[in-house]
Amino acid sequence: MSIGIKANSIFLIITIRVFILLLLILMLRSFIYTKRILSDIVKFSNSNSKVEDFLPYIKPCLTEIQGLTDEEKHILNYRSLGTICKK
Amino acid sequence: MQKIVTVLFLLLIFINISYVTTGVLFHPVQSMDAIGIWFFKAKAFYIEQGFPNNFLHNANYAYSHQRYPLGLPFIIFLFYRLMGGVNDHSFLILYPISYCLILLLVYKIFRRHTNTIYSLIFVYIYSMFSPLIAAGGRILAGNADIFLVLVEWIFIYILYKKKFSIAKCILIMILVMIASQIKFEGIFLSGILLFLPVSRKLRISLFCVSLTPIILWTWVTIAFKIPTDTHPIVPSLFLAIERMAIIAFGIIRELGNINNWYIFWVLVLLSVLIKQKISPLLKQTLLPAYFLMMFLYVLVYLFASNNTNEYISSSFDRVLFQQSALVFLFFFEKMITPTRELFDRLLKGK
Repeated sequence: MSIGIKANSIFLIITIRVFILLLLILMLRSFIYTKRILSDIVKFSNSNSKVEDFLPYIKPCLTEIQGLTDEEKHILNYRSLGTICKK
Repeated sequence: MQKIVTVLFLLLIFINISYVTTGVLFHPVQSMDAIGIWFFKAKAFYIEQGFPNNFLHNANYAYSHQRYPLGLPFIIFLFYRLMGGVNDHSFLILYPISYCLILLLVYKIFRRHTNTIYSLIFVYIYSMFSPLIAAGGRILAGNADIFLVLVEWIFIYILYKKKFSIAKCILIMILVMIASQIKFEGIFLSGILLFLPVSRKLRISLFCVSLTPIILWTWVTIAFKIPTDTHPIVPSLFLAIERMAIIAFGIIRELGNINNWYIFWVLVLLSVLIKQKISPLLKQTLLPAYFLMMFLYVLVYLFASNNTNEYISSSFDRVLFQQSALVFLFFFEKMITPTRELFDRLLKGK
């Protein structure tokens, strides 16, 4: 067997092992994602005010913050634009 | 056994789709760029009911990169009009849809090369990349990068293992033009046009025409005196060397970023070392275009007036993400045969 073929087969073995390791890491991460999905769903179903908490159109009014710069006031106004403000 | 593996990977992909979807359903807009640039400009369109001239000249909003192309904010503005009011959260639903579209394209492309099970394995790996998941609905939903990735996968879908025609070249050119109006970096995709397997004259013509929208937009920004927050500089030799070192270190640091890419880039490096044939399209068109695009990104880092260290640290993950389609196709082609052999052995219990 030439050195080239030997080197290639060594690289191949390492690559395959790293590939399997990658798949295992990804599956572990998928498990974490599943937990987060479930936690989001549980949080949603346990919420007493689903509409206010999760639906964007109806938001609680943002309290007016004192001492904002012009730029910050603009940002606050822009962020509230189009939402129905429910006191 | 093959059915079990297929179902397993389908389930894993479904978990990712659910993860990005619940991200936009149950969480508000979180990306600072989405709030401060894309949605912000769309609101400027909405308030001014057309070209946001006042907004683009207001020094208070300089952080929103006023010279950026307005393609995406304009689309968001149209969405607001359609909805009858400003609603950022509803627009976010487009991101999981784009995520699913990307995965579907990846699957369709890989199926041209191999069977369902191996296609699904590679689709799953791609679907797990943190920048893609973030852009698809978690944290970075609302940003523009995912649309550039989608355009790149559409390119590959058009080109990969398919007959070539001038109509397809023109379609790719139109997509480049659209991409250049989503983000400035979109114009780098025109690099692909330069390596298409057509006559030199046609390649150059397509390339030149694809630059038209970005040239027009640049002319508008100059003619309307829209302020800029960054500009090119010519660094001294010493500064250029220092910047090159910072860029090289920034690139290596991001390639080793386990949170974003796990050990994917180690595998890419290993797959370069193993002897596996790659398709002529990848060899002659896509990889040269990839290296050209990465070279252009490096030039941007080198000549931008921004602090190089901060600039590369805050953006190179997005650069790798924007160009991930080409690298992943290379990785797929290099790895598909060893993976097939490995799984055949495992599944047949040899």
